[in-house]
Amino acid sequence: MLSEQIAFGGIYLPLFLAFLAATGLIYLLVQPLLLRSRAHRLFWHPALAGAALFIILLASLMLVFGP
Amino acid sequence: MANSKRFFAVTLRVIATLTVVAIAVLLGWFAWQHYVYAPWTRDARVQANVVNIAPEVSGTVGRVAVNDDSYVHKGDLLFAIEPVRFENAVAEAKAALEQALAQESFATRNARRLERLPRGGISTQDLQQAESEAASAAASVSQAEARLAQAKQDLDWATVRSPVDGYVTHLLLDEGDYATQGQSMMTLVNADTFRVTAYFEETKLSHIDVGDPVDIDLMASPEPLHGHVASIGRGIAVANNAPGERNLPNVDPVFQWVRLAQRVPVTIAFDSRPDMRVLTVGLSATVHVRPEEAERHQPVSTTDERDMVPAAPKLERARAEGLAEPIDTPVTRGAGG
Repeated sequence: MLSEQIAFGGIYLPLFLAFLAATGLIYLLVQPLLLRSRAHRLFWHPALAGAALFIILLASLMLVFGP
Repeated sequence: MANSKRFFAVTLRVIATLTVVAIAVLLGWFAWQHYVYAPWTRDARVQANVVNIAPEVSGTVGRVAVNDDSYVHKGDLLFAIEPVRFENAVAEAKAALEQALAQESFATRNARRLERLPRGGISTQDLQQAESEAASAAASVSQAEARLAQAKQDLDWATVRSPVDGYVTHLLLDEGDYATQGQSMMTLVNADTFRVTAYFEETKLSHIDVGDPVDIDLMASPEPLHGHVASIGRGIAVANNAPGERNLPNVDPVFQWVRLAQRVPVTIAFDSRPDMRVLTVGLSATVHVRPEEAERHQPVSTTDERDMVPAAPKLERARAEGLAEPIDTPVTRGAGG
């Protein structure tokens, strides 16, 4: 369980923002790997699958590390 | 054949896409439910009863016996008003009492003497007057006694003592200041009444019950504290109730595309007396109510029963009666003597 807020120069932001940022980072790292392995060919709609992957990552972080 | 292969491949790709989307929707829904409806909030503050100390008598402050932020016990001297005026008043009241006693003695003896005179030796009017003077003198004695008692009480009130165990806070009083009767001169934070008030969105209230265990994270301390729900607020102000023209309700026309959930104060009592080093009225806290742990939660009460909500039976009774546990609200009271 993480703290519910992140300090940013005395401003305390909700953890959700950190999850969003972390998800974006992970997604940026994962996407080139998926492209390289041509995983997008497995999906009928790669962009939709990508969006779903983003939501899965975000929701998983929130459920595992969230308050 | 090629067409059916192609159809099969496309179908598989559609199914894969829909599967990923379904997982995303499911996880997203769980996360949303958890984040939006789970009973936790970052909007919580530490509170305690705040006692405003006002003297019962006016006068110049001759001595301030405490320092700012110091801890005082119930009955400890806080400050003293110059007693000369009150000592003089006591002396004056004593003298007045002695005078009244002398007058009463004379009037009583005079009345008795006149009563013993033979019939015709004194007129009825004179006898009645003597008896009346004796009764009046007795009343004067009572009056003088009351004044003496009040003068002694005023002298006692010139010494102001702490009505609670607590902390002196925001002390501005200094020797030489003029203390006015009934006007707050000092503020104490009652150390036995520290609690947390968490402001929960109304959407989360259905998951909170009196007695539920609570984890408290103070922004000021890395050590988590533990408590339980002592009571749930039963009223918040409604802006539309403010009287308008001709005392009619002043209802604002609103355009409700966006609505905000109201926040309701929930009082949380500490299970055990917390480390006072980290507790200050007004500190920010994050609280998590754990209704799923309510069954195995046994609050450990280590302080005054009046201040901390103690054990399960009491909570059960409160639940049965539909009542919240009483926790003192901030009060203003005078103190003296």
